[in-house]
Amino acid sequence: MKTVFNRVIPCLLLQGGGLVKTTRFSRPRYVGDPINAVRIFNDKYIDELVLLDIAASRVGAEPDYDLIQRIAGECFIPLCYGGGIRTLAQARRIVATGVEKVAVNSISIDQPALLTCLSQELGASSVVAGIDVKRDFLGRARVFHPGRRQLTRFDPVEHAKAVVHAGAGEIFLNSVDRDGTGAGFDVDLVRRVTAAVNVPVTACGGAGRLEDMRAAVHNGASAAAAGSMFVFYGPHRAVLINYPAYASVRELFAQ
Amino acid sequence: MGKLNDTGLVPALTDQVLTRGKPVLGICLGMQMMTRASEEGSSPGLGWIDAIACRFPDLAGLRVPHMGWNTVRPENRASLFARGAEAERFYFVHSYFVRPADSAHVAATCSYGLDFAAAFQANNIFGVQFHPEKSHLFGMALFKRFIAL
Repeated sequence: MKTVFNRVIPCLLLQGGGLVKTTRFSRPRYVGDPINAVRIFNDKYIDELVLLDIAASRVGAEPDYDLIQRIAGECFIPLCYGGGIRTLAQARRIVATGVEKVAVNSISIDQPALLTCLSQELGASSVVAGIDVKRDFLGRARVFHPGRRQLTRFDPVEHAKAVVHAGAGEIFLNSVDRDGTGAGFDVDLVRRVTAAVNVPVTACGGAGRLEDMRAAVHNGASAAAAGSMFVFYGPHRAVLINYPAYASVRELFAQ
Repeated sequence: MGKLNDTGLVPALTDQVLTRGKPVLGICLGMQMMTRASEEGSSPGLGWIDAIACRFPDLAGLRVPHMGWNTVRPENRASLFARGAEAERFYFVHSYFVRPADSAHVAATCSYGLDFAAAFQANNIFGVQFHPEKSHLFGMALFKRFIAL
């Protein structure tokens, strides 16, 4: 009775109008033109697409509304955008382009009240709190501030509860240490965060194979996201947009 | 509802829908706004269909919003759905659902914690809780059926 299909989500990173893929949030590698990639994913009938501008919030730039609008215009699939959103007016403008979910990360650390405001205006279902997590030198999971590129003292479980309390309708949980490594999700983190909140949680960071996604889902994630897995192919990591067949995904999660 | 009322369009819309019988399709919040009232706010809805919008109950393990792809079970009389062997799936993202007073108006049912109306149909008035515009193949097929009405 409680079932909703677990989603498999490509997460694409934007930087300066191009598509990049990072490793541990560093060393961005150019992988292509975003419009072209979105068109291919759209034709593959993917579950959902997450688009994150990794430069906007760091340099305090406005979201690239023109690019977002062109991407949203290509998408006949659910789309979430994050990066550089600091105000309700910016979020409204993005939703008006045809994006149904906006993700906020740095600002939800600096100013959690914005989540309440966004949730009241856009509906909680459209408001995603991004949480980046990095282990500190003692191995403790701590919230990473992507705008300042700094580790904070916040515990991710407590921070997750706080953002949901403030109004977030979904959490996008990303592991900095696993990003681009293909070493598997931080399932311990996924389990602890999903157990603490009653909203859907998307796990990201570390997926190298479909079986990794099953592990995330079995540990409570509603959806599993990946970058490298869907933009690189083969041992030499050639750029090739790919996505598993629907039947194989259903079979994977049914096991 | 406040923003829709501010546009001044409500009397014209109501005339087209209730008096002239133009086919109309409400999507997600649009479906909920066609009802009499919602637990989400205090303003009355458009009242085009005798129904109310309710919030998902607090059930252990039930994550709200209901977010993602789900299959629906269409009624035989429903005009907007296929009758194939493969269940059609659609993208949902919502915390409230519509409860029609007359169960004969339920066009398709979805299960998430409980059974709720994924779609309603009352003469020329149609509502879908999911997002056909984001449900690729299945959504496009639904729009084609609506346009062909």
